[in-house]
Parts: sequence; C-alpha cells; structure tokens
Amino acid sequence: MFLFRELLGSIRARTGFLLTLSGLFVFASLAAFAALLLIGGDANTREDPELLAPEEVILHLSPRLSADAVNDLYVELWGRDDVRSVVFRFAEEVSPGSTGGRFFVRAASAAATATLIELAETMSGVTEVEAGEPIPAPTPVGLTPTMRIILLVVLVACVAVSLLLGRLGYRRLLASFHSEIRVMRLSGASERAIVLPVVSLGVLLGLLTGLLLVVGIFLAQVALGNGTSGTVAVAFDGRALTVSMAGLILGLLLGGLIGLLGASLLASREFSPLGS
Amino acid sequence: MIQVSELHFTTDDGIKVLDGVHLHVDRGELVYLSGEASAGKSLLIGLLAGYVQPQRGQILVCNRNVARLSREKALKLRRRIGVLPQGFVPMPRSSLDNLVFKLRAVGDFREQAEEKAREALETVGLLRQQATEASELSALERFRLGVALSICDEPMLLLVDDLFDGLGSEDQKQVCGLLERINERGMTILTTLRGPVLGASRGYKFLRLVDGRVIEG
Repeated sequence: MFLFRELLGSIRARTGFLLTLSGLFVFASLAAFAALLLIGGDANTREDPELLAPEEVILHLSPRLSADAVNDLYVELWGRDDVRSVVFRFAEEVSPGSTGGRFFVRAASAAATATLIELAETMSGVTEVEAGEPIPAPTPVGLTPTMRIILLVVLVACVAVSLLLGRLGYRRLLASFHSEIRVMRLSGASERAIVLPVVSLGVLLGLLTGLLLVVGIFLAQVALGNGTSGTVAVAFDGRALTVSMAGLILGLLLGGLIGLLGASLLASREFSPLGS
Repeated sequence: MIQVSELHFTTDDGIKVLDGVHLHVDRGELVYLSGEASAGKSLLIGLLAGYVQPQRGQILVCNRNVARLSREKALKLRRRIGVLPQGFVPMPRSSLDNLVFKLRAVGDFREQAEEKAREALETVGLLRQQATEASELSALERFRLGVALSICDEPMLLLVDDLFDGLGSEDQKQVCGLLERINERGMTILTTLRGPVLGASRGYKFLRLVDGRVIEG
C-alpha cells in the first residue's frame, strides 16, 4: 500500500493526462461493448414464436361440436376471399389437457383480419377468438449488420488506442519513478513488491471506468424507462444488470492488461539496480 | 565474509573480463580494489551482490554460494548487503525521505524508519541536511547520502562501486575517512576505484584488478 501511494504520488500533469485519456478510451471500448449487447435486437424482427402475426387468427371450437359441424365451419371459412389458409388442429396437440379443436386462419391481409374476427365471433360453436397484435412501428435503435460491424471496429480500435496511451502514460510515470525502483531493487525488495503497485494502478483505472459504465447504463435505463421508447426499455430491463457486470469485468481485464504492459517496461535497463 | 575462487566471466562479444579471480575478504575488513576503466570492477560488484549470475567459479558471500541460492534466499542475502552503485542518483526528495522510502519499501514502519534514517544520516555527517532536497546537495554530500542509504538497514557488507566517481581530489580524503569510520564500527567494506587510492590510511587491504585477475596492490 505504501509503494502504491508513492507511485500515485509521482503522477505528474502530463502522465495523469495520458492515463486519463487511456481510461477514457477504455470507457469508450466498454460503451461500444455494452451497446452491442444492449441494443443488439432489430425492432422489426419477431423474436417470440409464440406471438401471432397480425393476419393470424385462432378460433377455439367447442368440444361438443360434431365432426360435420366442424367441417361446415371449415368449408365456410375456406370459401371466403379474404382467407388465405385454414388449418385444423385438435386442442390437445396445441395445448396438452385441452379439449375441442382449433382453426388456425390466416387472412389475406392484416386489414382483413378485423372482418374475419367479427365473423368468427358470430359463428356458432366458436368459443373464443384469438388475434395477433399489430407490430409496433420500427424504433430507430435496432442495429443493422453494418452498424454492428462499425461498433465492433470501434471497440477494437478503442481497446488498441487505450493500450497504446496506457503504455505511453506508464513510460512517463515509471521514468519519474525510476530512482525509487532502482533503490527498491538495490534494497532486496522482491519483484512482486515492485510489480504489484504498477499493475494495481492499471486495475484501478479499469475499475473506475467499469464503474463509470455501470453508472452510465443505470442513467440510460432510468432515462429510457421514463421515455416513450418501450422496446429499448424492455431490452434494458432484461439485460442491463448482466451487461453492467460484464462491462465491469471487461474494464478490470483491460485495466489489468494496461498495468501488465506498463509493468513490462520494468525489465528495461533503465531500472537495473546497478545502472545501465 | 567474501570468498571468490576461480571466477571467470566472458561477455556476449567474447571478451574475457574476469579470468580466474581469487578474492578473500575477512569479516570487518576494508578492501580497496583498484582497476582501470572496463577492468570488470562493476561486474565483480554485480556478481558479489547477486545481480549477475556467474558463468564459472564459486562466490561465497556470508558463507552462502550466491549462484545456488533460491530466489527468496537470494533476496534475504541481498538485504544483508548494502550496495552503492556507480553513478548513484538519489531520489528527488529530501535526504531523510530518501532513507525513509528505502526502509519503508523493505517493510519498516514510519517511526522505525525515521529513527534508523536519522541514525544513518548522523553516521555519514548529513543529519543537518536531513530536510534538504537531494538535488541541492553537493557531489560529496550526495555520496554521503548514498552511503547512508546503503547502510541504513545495517547490512553486514557494504559494496561501493567506483568510489571517487564524480568527486574532486580534495573530497577523496573525506570519502576514505568516512568509509574507515564505518569500517571501525565493524562493517565489512569492499570498494572499487579507478586510480590509485589517495587519502586512505595505511593498514587497510589494497588490491588491483589487472587482466581479469585480482593481485596484491
């Protein structure tokens, strides 16, 4: 802890600027990572196979209906111009334990569904009519494949830049701390005692950016929850915590990597105890 | 304290720097080892302190074979050896803080470190400059600070590389006097230097490193 404090104390303005910049790029990497996971869904795609399409209608038939009556209903529906297909299934096939039958009717268009529903509700032997909900209007947050690729490129570039800046920052920091490192080596301090504070600084950087991401996601969630973009809010509700934790871990890993890169500089002759 | 036998060392370029060095230093001795530039003095100090692995030969320091020590034992031995390297540059902080940093880095608490640091500064005659920034010290005072830094943890052996490096001829007598005073307190000292030993009292061991071998001065 003493050495870590001393190392922190030797951070000067330019070094601090480089390390902060490196931290910002780590944050940008984490933000791109979170964006890929949180707004990955295309709002126009139906992901739930249980949901009905808007032109689909299910007619629940009474179990008391005779086979002839079922047949008559089938012929009546199939004969209509606004019906594209009619499929009969026993209720047991669709929902175990149920009785009776079901007609799965597909209207010719979404507009024709309303008429079909009205008709079905007046048919004798039909106990219930289920209809699909209209698909919500596409929200602008769905990611196209191109946007995904761009985000991935941004993620990789930000990681690379953060590592580069981190190493530059460490080079300056260790240059201003080189007498101390030489003295530590001369004193018989273990390599672990020397390397640990250096790596810890990187881990601290990653931890801070990771926490910043958690706060950012939380604020975005609050803002979207209060807004009108329901689809995004639902996506956030389900995954925000997981993505926050994953981002925090990724931040720690990236910070640790920057710290290790910095520690690799300690092998240079500049820090040799007997001088170069 | 130091027993070196048949020590050989060849650089990557094939230059034979040490060619069968034999060296014996008893506990409590002060030894001046003189040699020209690139004679292998710093290499010998590095080998004795365990920073350089020997290629051939045996080095016993405090009755331990430095080449065969585990990492932990090598670190323990290193803590019993004070090394003042050639071209020593103190840390950019006050004299006292230089010593306190070192002592705290090896595990001392602040109060204990400050006490030991003041003792060491008094030994080298630098107590009045304890609050002075190292960059403001003269060459001789910086040397004194280097010695204080090397002895503050009370090592058994002090190795000084290139004793008069950067010092004027008028400072050399004081430097020798300082080492002799420390030696009189029981510390074994081996110091290397380039030229002849000026200002040293008689009664101490003088050796020379010539053509990769140590000979009587």
